[in-house]
Amino acid sequence: MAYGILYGQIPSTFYDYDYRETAVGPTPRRTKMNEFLTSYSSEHALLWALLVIGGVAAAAIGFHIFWTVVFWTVASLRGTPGRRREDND
Amino acid sequence: MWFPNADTVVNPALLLLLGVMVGTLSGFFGVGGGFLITGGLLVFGVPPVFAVGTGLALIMGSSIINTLKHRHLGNVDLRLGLIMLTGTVPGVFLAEQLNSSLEEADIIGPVIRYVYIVFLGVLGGFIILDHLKQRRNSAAASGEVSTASLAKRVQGLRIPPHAIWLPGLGRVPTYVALPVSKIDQISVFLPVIVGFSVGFFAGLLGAGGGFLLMPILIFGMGVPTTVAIGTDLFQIIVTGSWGTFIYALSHNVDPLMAIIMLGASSVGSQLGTTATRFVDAARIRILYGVTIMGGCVSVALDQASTFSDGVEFLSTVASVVLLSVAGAMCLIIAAMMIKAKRETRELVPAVD
Repeated sequence: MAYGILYGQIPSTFYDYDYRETAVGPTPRRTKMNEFLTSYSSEHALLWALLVIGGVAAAAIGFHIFWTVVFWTVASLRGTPGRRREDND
Repeated sequence: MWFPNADTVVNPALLLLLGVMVGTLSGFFGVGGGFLITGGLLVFGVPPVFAVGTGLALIMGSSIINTLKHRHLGNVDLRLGLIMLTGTVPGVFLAEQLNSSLEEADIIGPVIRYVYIVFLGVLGGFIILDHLKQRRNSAAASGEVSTASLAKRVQGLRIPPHAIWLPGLGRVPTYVALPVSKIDQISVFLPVIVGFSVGFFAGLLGAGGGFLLMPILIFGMGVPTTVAIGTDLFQIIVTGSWGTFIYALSHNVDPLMAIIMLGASSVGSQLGTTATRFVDAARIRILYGVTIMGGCVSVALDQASTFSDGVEFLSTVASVVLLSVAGAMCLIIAAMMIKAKRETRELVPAVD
């Protein structure tokens, strides 16, 4: 399916593929933002790396909490107990 | 949708689809899914270096979600995971030294692909053969693997020194009990050696190493399948974080792309982890074997595409094969879970 959607956009190989061709024309705002991110991540490499790791970890924990709350709410509404560690065989 | 760091446009629906597949397989098999993510992002037109870097960020995030979920289900042996980590970290560092040497010799690409083909092929073949052997012996129903006696012998290995002196603690025995993994006593050096080997190959291949650790824990150390999956994911958090850190330092990670895929991956994770409760261990192992055989075929096609200009299209075929196998596996997992859940529901009145 993924291939079908993209059919016609991807060439037969990745080696001679210029990914920038897929961009719908680089607008000045995009260029500016890309330049800012490139220069910021180059100048403050360590801070940027920590920011990326921290951001992804925080997002992961956030998603986990979200789903835990969703399942807990659904279980409460249905009146069925949630799965506990003690239930594991 | 435009992604500012990678400076590329990718259809977000495709990223969401890939995220769901990665989350499902990661939660079900306890692997990071590095080869699937990188292959998928390349097909979507993401620059190769960003595909690897962003893939590692997704592996890290996805492993955090899956580890937390598996921990809730009691499938994570933290003690075993922490002991293995003492070997994993030096293993990753050593691999980086070797990687630099291979890069200087300009042979890193083919070396990685050949190592991948051998590992995936041997592991996939072994798991499938084990399943067939156990099925013939009609022991598969008990969930036992063909190497159960070997694993018992490995657990019983006595490796000197049998005690070490630690400041503040005095003489401490080098044998530990791992109740979560149902191991009465094992030398700490064994998990350290396993962690080191997995860390080394993970660093060499630029992956989380989960595809190696999961079978080693099950077949080599005799850890129950679901505990091996959870503990494996705990390890991948560390290897994935280290990889993300290295790639982010050279600004080759697109956090926006990673977080979008992570959102979808969290949906798949719920399906994958929950399915481990309903699908029996033997089935999890055979599905894993088939998946990594698919990965082996895909990497072999990718390597074949470098042989001459006329067969470069094989690289695209490789990614499509990989995505198709992964997609089919997700559908099978969903179907098996629904079937097992229905059977459980039907059994409940009979018990009452």
